[in-house]
Amino acid sequence: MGEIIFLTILSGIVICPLYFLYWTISRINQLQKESKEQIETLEGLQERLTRLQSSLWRIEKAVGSDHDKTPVAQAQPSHSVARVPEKTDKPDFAQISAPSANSPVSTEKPVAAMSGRVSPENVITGHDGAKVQHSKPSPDMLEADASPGAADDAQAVDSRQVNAFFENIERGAHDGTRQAGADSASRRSKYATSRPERPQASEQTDWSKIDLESLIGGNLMNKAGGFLLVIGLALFLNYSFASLGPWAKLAAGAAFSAILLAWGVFLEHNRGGNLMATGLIGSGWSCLYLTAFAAHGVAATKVVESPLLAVLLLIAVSLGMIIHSLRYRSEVATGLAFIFAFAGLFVAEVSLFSEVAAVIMAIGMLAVSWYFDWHQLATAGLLLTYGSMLARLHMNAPPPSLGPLQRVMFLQTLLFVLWSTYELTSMTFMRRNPKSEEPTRFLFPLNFVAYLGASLLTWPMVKETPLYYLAGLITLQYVATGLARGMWCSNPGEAAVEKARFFLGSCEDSLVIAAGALCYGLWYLLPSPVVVIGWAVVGLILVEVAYRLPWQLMRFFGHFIVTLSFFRVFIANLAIDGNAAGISHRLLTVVPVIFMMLHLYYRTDTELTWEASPTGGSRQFAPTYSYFSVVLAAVLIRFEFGPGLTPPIWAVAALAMTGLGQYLKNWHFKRQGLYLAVGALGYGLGNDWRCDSIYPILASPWTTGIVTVSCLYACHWLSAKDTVPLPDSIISGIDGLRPHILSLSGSIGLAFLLYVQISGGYLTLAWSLLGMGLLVVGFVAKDRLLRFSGLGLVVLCIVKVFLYDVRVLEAPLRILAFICLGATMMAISWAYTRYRARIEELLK
Amino acid sequence: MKPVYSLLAVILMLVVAGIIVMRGEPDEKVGLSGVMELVGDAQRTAVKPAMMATRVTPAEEMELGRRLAGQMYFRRKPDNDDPAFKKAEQYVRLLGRSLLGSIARKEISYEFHLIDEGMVNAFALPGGQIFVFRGLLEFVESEAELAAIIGHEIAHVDARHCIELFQAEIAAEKIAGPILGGSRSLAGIGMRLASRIIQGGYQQFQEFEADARGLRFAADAGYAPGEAELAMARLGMMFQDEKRPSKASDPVAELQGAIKTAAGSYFRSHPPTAERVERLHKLASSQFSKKKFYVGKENLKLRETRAQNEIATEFLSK
Repeated sequence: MGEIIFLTILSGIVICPLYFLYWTISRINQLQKESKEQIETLEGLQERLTRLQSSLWRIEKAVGSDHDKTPVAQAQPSHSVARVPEKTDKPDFAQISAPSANSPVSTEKPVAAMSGRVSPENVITGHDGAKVQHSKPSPDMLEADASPGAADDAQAVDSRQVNAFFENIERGAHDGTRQAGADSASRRSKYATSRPERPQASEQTDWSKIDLESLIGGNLMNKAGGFLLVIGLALFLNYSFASLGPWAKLAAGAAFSAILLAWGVFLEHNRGGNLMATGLIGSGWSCLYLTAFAAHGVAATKVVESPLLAVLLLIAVSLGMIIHSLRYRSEVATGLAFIFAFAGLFVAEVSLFSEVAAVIMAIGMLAVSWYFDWHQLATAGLLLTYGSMLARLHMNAPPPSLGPLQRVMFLQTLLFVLWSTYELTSMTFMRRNPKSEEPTRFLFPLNFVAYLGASLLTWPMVKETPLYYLAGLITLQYVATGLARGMWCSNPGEAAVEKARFFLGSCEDSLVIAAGALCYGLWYLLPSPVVVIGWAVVGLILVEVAYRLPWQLMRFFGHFIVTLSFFRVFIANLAIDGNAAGISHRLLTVVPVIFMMLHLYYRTDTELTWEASPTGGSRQFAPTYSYFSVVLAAVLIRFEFGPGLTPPIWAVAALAMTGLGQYLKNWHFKRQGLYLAVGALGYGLGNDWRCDSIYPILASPWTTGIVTVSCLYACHWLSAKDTVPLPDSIISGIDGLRPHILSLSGSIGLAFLLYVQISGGYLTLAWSLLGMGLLVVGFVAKDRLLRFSGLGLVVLCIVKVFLYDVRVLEAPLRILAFICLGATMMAISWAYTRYRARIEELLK
Repeated sequence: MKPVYSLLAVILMLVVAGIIVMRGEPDEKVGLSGVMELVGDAQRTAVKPAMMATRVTPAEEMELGRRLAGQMYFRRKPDNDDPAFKKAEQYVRLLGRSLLGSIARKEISYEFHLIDEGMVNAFALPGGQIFVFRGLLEFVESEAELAAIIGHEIAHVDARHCIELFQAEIAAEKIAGPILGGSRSLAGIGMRLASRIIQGGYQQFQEFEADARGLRFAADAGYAPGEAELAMARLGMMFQDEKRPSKASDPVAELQGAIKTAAGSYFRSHPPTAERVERLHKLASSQFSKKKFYVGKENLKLRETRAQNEIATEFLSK
């Protein structure tokens, strides 16, 4: 009994939209009929108009003797009048009528009769029932009066129809439907007559005129409120109340939905429809869909046992929703309704029934978006469907009734249905309206990626089946359909080049997607440290193929995969153990990747820039690849040789990069040399210049320290030869400071080496001597920074003596420290005094 | 060179390298531990000036070490007067002292203690306080193994790892003393927490460093370096501190796992045992191959050091 009541309520609610469906379809048919009649009439009118204009031209020509006195003839070629409609689709009657007023022919007619005016005939009824006023001149008067021989034609011309014709032409010009070829235009007009007009004014919002408060309070709050209502209902239905049975809950849900719907419809009828009404109607439908779903899909409210009946119920509600959305023709309202319904499904528990419900909803959404040519809705539907499905699969709640294999096959079938539906819909979008090529083309890869992702997440439930079979199968499927649509969606009348471009474009998309799938498959197939090699090979091949064929998408995707392989090194290849033939796996896997980066650097560096190349060069990537290779080489050294040996090796590398930069005049190499040098110093300081090696020479801090510091000074010597560019950015500002940074790094490194190796009072002595040495070298090399470093070190010694040596050192060492420092300072002072003239000369 | 030649060379190199690695059963370990190690390197360099500025004198360090050692719970227990224990204690003391030949900080005077607990462990405190548990003495199989472990603890002191944990705290208390008075320990506690967080990044590096230095101390004293990795491997098997990583279900899960384990990897005080064994093996096999080393299995049983009783059969020739 309760079941019957519930179904009756639901059916009653569904009947209303069915009425709307009937009304909408009849209205559409009526409009189509009217449009067809008008087009036929206007085609006849156009033909007559051309004839009339020709007649006018003949009359003007027949006037003969007065022709050269006519301003029209002076201003325009003799055939200009006849060509006007061809050029502009809209004859410039002002030009025609004005000179005609002065002509002998037109003098018989009052001027006022030929001028533009607003007459009752000019007021026509628009498609939406609103009165639209037009103030265009009526050419029929001119034609009728100008040519007595064309009187029959003039009588047949109805000014209302002509105005409607002009209006139609204007609308066509506004919609930009005149640029396609003849075939595509005819195909479009064929479909356009069978498709309702897309409302423009009500859809477009001038956001600049809406303040933030209105936006939040009016628009966003409305949507958020609707969303929360649906979620609340879903939670309500899912919750097991002790005192409320399933029927009561469902009835409450249905009543709630009905109230929302009724309220929305009421507002719409009484206030002409606004955002509030749209939101309420959308929420009402979503709640109703959810209630219907809950009748079978939610355990707490399960009253419909038969899955077939439940599916029929869902289809009925979906139909109602679709039909109602036809009434409003609002992409936003329909989209909101679907989003709310998806949200409700998402909250509901995971089951096969819920998956079927999601697919039904998606197909409904696609039907609506196909009918109205709503690409945004189609895209949103795709994302919502796959998104909700992926999220639900992630929850991984297997239904108790099916085993893993059955579940996978079932879900795979659903996914295939979804994929095919989206694929077909997108193709028909493109075939119907070539304008939608660009937005629709995006749907294909999106559909494929979502399909592949959902399938791959489903498949691991069957452990014994290799996953890459599925990935390969889906990829082949996509490539095949890509090629098919390249042929099917191309317009027959299009030029061969255009067709080839489209066809190849599809190939490019397909190959790019296939490469992505291949990378995914490689991840599964290969051991973790080898995945980077697989990805590197795929990326490299993509980039190289894209060089041969100017395919930008593929080229950028290739660069993207190579970049991914760079980052993967850090998580899968640095901290691994193991070796083969005495060579560590880390070395074996990272070194080829470094060479690949160098190859790509060489490849991209010899290319044109993005701006300069007509096919989009990628020279801007060249520095990135040089940095990638240097970074990989640096971290490889760190992990292969340990932190102890890193400073000298990095310092040698810094010297090499600086030298290479000098030789090739490449600032990127010079900067890399600087970064490596600073890194070497940092590692040296962090490790106290110590090394784990037990080879006495390598283990000694003197070795690592002196090698590193020597390289730093050598880099400084090389960099001092540079002509520093004007600082126009932070990086170029650092370029100017490069020699100073290198010099200072060397001095700091040397001072720290003494600090590590010499302690107590001897350190003061050592630093004093080093300071003096730096001063001398600074004078000889005319290097101010070295001199400052030397003076700074001496000052540091003074501080050390008074703050540390006095307090800590034993008496003999303390005395030694004071004496040495004093002697050093005296020596410096003496040198400044003795060689003052030469020093001043050096300082110049 | 034409790009096609370099392309072919690179692809060949990649493919060959991939095949070689796949034939060698590569490690499936994926995570951010390598990145964390690099971060730890940077932190170590960054805090270096602070560590240098807050250094304490050897006397202060030794005083701190004695104070901390006195606060240990096992020091409050009554002394074990068992002659065997006393002999073992003396054995550890003598062995420890024999390893001090190549330390850098000669001004530190080391004290070696044997704790009467069954735990298999050893640790060091600032100022040269080295503690060995009785359980460890029973766990090791040769004097060389024990020497490597005690050498490891000596290295922690010699490389200032122990005192650096307290330096920031001591400095904070010194600075905050005039301001906070009796509450200056609050500043010390805050600084201790901060320094633990910062130094957490390179504790594993310190362990590796101590392994390497400890091995060198033992080797310089004539003990077989290969014994260290044996002891470490047995420790790893005993505690099963890690499982062989299995491959994630998908790349996203792999990345999630890597990010999740990054924090754990940062604060993990000791590196994975397998990695330590690998590094010890490298150090031992490549750097000590031409020397004649002492193992001392019998010495361990007798609780008599090599200096007390050198047994000819205990020499290992590689």
